[in-house]
Amino acid sequence: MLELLVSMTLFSAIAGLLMSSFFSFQSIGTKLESKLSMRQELRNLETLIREDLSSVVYLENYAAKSAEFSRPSGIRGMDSESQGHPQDRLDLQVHSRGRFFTSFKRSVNPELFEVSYYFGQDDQGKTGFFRRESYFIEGPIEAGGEAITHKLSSRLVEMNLTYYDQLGAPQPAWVSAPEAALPTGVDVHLGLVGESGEKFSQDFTVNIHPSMGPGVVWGKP
Amino acid sequence: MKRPGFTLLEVLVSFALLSGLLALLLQSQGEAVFFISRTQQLERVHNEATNRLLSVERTGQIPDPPNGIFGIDHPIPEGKWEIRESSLDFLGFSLTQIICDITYKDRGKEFHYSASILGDLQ
Repeated sequence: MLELLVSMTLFSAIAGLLMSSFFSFQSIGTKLESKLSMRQELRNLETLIREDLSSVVYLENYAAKSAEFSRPSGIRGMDSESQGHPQDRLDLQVHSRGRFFTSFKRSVNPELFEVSYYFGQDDQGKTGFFRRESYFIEGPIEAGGEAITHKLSSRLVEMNLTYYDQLGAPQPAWVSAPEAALPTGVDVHLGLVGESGEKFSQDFTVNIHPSMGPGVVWGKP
Repeated sequence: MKRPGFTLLEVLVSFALLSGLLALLLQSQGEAVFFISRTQQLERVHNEATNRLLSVERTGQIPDPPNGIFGIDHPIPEGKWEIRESSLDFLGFSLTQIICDITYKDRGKEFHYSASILGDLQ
């Protein structure tokens, strides 16, 4: 009887230990996985936005011919908010080979695309963060032509952009015009909320035409 | 006649071994959590330094004031930052170096991080 009791006690102790360690491992593993996946998602979003902002262009001649037509070029950044979260919209023209239009032959690639980042709803009515890419640049900068739109994230809830003008003053919104084509830099804030309510944020700066004093200027300000 | 099964001593030894193994596993898991948290903090510090240096690159000026302390709401709470200019000799040529120093605390211990860029200020 004593042996039975001792063995049962030991068995329950071992079983308890194993169970608790299993659940502890499981919970730590899930938390780590969730953290890593959120950081990875933020990094991917940062890479996309950083690449697009770094290759933004303002087409002077294209925009100059727009006396009778609306031909916006450069950046159109709208400052907006939803449910207490900054949810800006960014539309821009970029000089790149395109990220989604991969079927173009190099010789016929227009190397000029309209790109938009915005919060919207998908077919199921779920809110998400989208990226739109189109090689047809005539007309409004945020619509028109054959476009590929991808939902980049369903966990991103904040995107706040601050644009710096030629005098270095921060602006919450930006619409390119001949007298102020592109901002000198953009501060981007991204905020992600995970399934468990955990928040992650990333802030980064992109200099569009940095100038470093006399004689060292990248691009035309 | 010997009865089949394990003796109490054998069970106790196996129990001790199992506990030791579990302790090792828990420790490695704890270390993984620690390193992930440390990497995350380092990434925040690196981001902060990069962003500050990019601001200097954009404006061409050292910020005024050139140092400060991060607030409680900042990703690096109570950390300190400083941007300074120094001269660097490169093969006989004098280059201007802009350095961003960040001091931050991680689990009560103080760490220093430094990043720099080369270029002339306005």
